Amino acid sequence: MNYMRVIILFLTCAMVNSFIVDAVFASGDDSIIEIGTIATLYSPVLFDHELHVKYASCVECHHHTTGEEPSDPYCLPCHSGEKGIAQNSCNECHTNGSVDETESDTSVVTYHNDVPTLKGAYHLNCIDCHEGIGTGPIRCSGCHVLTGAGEKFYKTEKRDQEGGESK
Amino acid sequence: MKSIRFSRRRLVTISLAGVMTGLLAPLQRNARGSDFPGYTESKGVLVDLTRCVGCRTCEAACNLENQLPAPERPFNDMSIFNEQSDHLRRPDDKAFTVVNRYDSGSSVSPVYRKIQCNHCQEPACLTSCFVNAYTITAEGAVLYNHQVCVGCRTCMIACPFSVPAFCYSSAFSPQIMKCNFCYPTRLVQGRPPACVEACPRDALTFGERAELLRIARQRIKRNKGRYINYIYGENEAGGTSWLYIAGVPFNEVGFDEDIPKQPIINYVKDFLAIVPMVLTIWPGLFAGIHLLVKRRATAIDNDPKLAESDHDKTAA
Repeated sequence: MNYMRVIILFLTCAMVNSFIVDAVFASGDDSIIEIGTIATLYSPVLFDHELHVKYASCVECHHHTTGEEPSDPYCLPCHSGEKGIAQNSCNECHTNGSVDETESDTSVVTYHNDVPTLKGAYHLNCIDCHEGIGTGPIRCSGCHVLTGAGEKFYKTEKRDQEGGESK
Repeated sequence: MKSIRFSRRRLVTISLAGVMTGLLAPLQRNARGSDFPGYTESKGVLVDLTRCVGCRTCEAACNLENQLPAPERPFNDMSIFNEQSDHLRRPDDKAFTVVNRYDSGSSVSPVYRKIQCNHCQEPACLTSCFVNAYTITAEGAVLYNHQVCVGCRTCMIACPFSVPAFCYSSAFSPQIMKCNFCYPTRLVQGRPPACVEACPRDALTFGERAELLRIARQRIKRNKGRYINYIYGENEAGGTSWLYIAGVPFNEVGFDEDIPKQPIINYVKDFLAIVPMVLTIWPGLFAGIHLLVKRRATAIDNDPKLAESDHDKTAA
């Protein structure tokens, strides 16, 4: 019983903490970036920034932070003609809260009250774009490798025997 | 003679007073019930069906959080969606939540939908339970207490979403199993349910219900063409804590659009208010009237003069 509790507590803490993503520039500015997220369930994702620059313009991921015009018309009134800012990595704006309530009832302008979490921002942007252009991984295993803890979480012990398809 | 008349008048007066009390008391209760707009701090979850990709991580998180039995097949086994043509999966005693895939006519790609207890603001399960096994917290969680449940399963019939599941496999301690909003382990500390925290695409958003309604409207307005202009759960069955927005008509992805917009209890409240009156007042009232009439008839039979004098008095 206690053993189970420790595992649950550990996994819960790990899931919460793993949202804190450190984008490490492994070799050069525009090369492979290691996204060390959900280290317990999945091993870090190796993101090829250089490859993605060929497919997408900066705004599609960085929105208004690189100095280009935002593609979303909703952002234009405020963020048009801006200069790029130095802190333009994802975790500068996408945090861990479910709903950003900094601009709620009391605020007249509620533009930033539905910002995806960091984990949400990755998966929404990556998968939607990959689906849209018809290339790139859209399933979990396309980017992630399950760790031992992840296999426990998804209860994959029986998978090998039954030959189930992994997403 | 006089004593009989006095008793009759008095009995009728008392009976009428009783009837009026019986009629008025439930009316006052009705007024209170229908005026209750829900707790202001009530929490909820907004489910965005356009974001769900059917990864089933929410199912795995729920299983872990609630220490439910291991599934027959792993949670990242997507072939389970291919075998649902005959019957869609639904929450049962081994899973508080399941994700189903729908091939909607209005969408090229399949649509996934998570099912669990919607945590109604005026739950039919709660109002139908005669031993008060259900409670609703200020956060909006509808909780079930197996210790007082007698296993009548009325809640399973009352629920408009067919959510409560019965643990038939347990012979000696059967109980109802359903999503508890992670109240004991998370909601009570203000933390989102396990499924919400696990969702990789923010298809589930936790927050105050009123704020979630604003966000839902905002998403529908900002993303023209992405959503159907409807929030399922805003008014269904009197409003639910779990709210849904979708890119296809809700009836194409398994939502019952015929669910009334007012609490289920409203349909039986008027009838139920009469039941105590019928059960408690009517037997006494009619038995009393019957006895009085019978006693008078017996008295007249025994003493014919009584009938004459009674007749004279009436004529006078």
